[in-house]
Amino acid sequence: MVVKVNQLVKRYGDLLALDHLSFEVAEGEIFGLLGPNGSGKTTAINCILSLLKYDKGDVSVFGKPMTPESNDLKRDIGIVMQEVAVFDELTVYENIDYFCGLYVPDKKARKLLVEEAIQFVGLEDFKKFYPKKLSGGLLRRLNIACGIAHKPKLIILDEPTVAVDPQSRNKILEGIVALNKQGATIIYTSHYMEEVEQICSRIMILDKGNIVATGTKDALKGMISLGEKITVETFDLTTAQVDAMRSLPNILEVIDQAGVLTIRSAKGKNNLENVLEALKREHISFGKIHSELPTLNDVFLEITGKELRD
Amino acid sequence: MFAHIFFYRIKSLLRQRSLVFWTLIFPIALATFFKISLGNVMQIDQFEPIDVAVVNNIAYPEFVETMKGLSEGEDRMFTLILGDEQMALNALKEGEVSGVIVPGEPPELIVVKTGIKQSILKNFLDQYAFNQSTISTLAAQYPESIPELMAAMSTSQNYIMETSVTDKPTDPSLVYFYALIAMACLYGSMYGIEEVNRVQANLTTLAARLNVSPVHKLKVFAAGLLAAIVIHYMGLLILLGYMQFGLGVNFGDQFGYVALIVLIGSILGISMGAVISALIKKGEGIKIAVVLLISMLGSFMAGMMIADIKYYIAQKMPILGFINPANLLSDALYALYYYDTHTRLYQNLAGMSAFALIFCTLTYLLIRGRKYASL
Repeated sequence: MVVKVNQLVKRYGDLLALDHLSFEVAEGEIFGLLGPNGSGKTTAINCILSLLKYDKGDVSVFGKPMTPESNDLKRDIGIVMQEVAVFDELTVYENIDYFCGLYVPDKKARKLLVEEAIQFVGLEDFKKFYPKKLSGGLLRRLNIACGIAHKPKLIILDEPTVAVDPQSRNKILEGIVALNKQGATIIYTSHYMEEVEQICSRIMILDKGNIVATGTKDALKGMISLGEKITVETFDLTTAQVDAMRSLPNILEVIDQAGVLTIRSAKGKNNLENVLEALKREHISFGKIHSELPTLNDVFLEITGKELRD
Repeated sequence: MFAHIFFYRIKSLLRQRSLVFWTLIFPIALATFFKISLGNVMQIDQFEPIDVAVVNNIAYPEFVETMKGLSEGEDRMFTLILGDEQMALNALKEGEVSGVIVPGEPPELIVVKTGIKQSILKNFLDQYAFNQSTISTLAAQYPESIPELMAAMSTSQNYIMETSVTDKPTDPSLVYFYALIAMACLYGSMYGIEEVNRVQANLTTLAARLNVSPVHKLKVFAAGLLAAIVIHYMGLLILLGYMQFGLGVNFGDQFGYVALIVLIGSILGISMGAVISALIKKGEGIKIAVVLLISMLGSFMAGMMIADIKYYIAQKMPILGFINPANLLSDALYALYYYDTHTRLYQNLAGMSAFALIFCTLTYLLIRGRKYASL
């Protein structure tokens, strides 16, 4: 295992931030830590990195206990902080070179690595720019370059796409997948479920310091009863018509609100077909109709009773 | 690794305009302002002849002659206007003279306000009247002793011998400039704040990133401190150079010692900032405000705004002088300039070094931990 966390407990006074948290990250994974703000994602990361004192539990990285003095382990770890952590007074190139230099003393080797990192995040045209002159997206890319230039085996990215434009976000996500393909194990924290669904091979959902669920994207969705959500644009439905829809087989819930009929069905085949037939039978006129499979938000909602972004 | 961090810290610190402003530009501007404001301080101590009008009364030719005699030459006591009473009173009314003397027995002094010049005139006339009375009395009773008396009066005997602890020319403005140098040294505390902020993960994200790298944070801190000392010290040497060659401030002829005082002062200032930054868990703005306040207050008590404050504290509350780093610094420069021995200089240097050592030790104890309770 690249990372092993065992029964980790972290308190901030009376607040229990991590409640006997245990998980493992295998080599080559993109491990997603998903949870709302304040769920304990960053605290867990800081404990793994031995930055934060914790009350109980063990953390090991690359099979060895992780402590502040574990310089041999730290050499193979790259961290991309939630907030941009670069020197305002140094240029893009200098920033990457400075941080890379903390891991790679050899100047020649470092030069190659820095150039490679700049190319990787697409900042070739901004080498001599100071961070203040960069847009939010470019700044995030610089933040990533500073964390990965030394080619670490384990890369921890803590919400690297916060306040980033869609173009830069895609570039960042593509980059993370590319780093993984090059052999790096990734721990990726986010509260954007779409991102986690898009790139993570395994996901752990956290809430209030507890693990809500862990597994692959499909395994997580398999944990809940919801099979499909069908949304229909309708006009002036009668109570009888809505009741007729409710009486369909395999239907969990029907909500008629503001001209939109939302039908949540349990797992099973022909749900959409059954709904279409019922609409015809009950002479219900409709505009758009849309069907979607459950999301990680639905998983979170069903298990915790609240939205992921609450 | 150390060199890598050191050179990047040099680059980084040099590009921080606010640091360069507070530690170099501001003291230079203040020194220039001091020079303009204090330019006449030396001249104030020189005696200026007193403008006086004497009514030309032919009944008292001796007095008029005496006044004429005292109004001649470079070291003259008076600048004399001789004329009738109306002219003399007009000159007094117009403020052209400090007083009008009407010869008589005794001579009469007319003034329109009180002041040092008027007091001198009064004193002079009292002395004149006393001497005149003495001569008249003796001439009447012992006419044979007149030559002897005249000889005795023409030679004055001083029973107080003036000695000086220094052969250097006294310059009252030096207290102000030396206190300003002390302030510039203590402004190095801004570098100290910066360096602690760069290594304490609970203060900045940048420091958190450094803490997860395979370099010990105290190594990063040591390299940063050294870079800060080099830059601050260079700035102080530029300031000294500007003051000496640009403004003509006199530091004596022992520049090696001046450079040593300023070096220890720089270390003292930076270490003071470091310990304040490690102690106060607030934003950078608050920390800077605290060090500016301490530096300004310390420099004020060392005589930067009012030179007499320094002497007052030395007489009434000497302990306050000993625990004020700015006073130790300015006093070291003062002692080096004025005293022929180095005893007082070494005492000040020892005090400064002790402060720096205490600050460094406290900082080390406060920042040595590599794990934090919260971030």
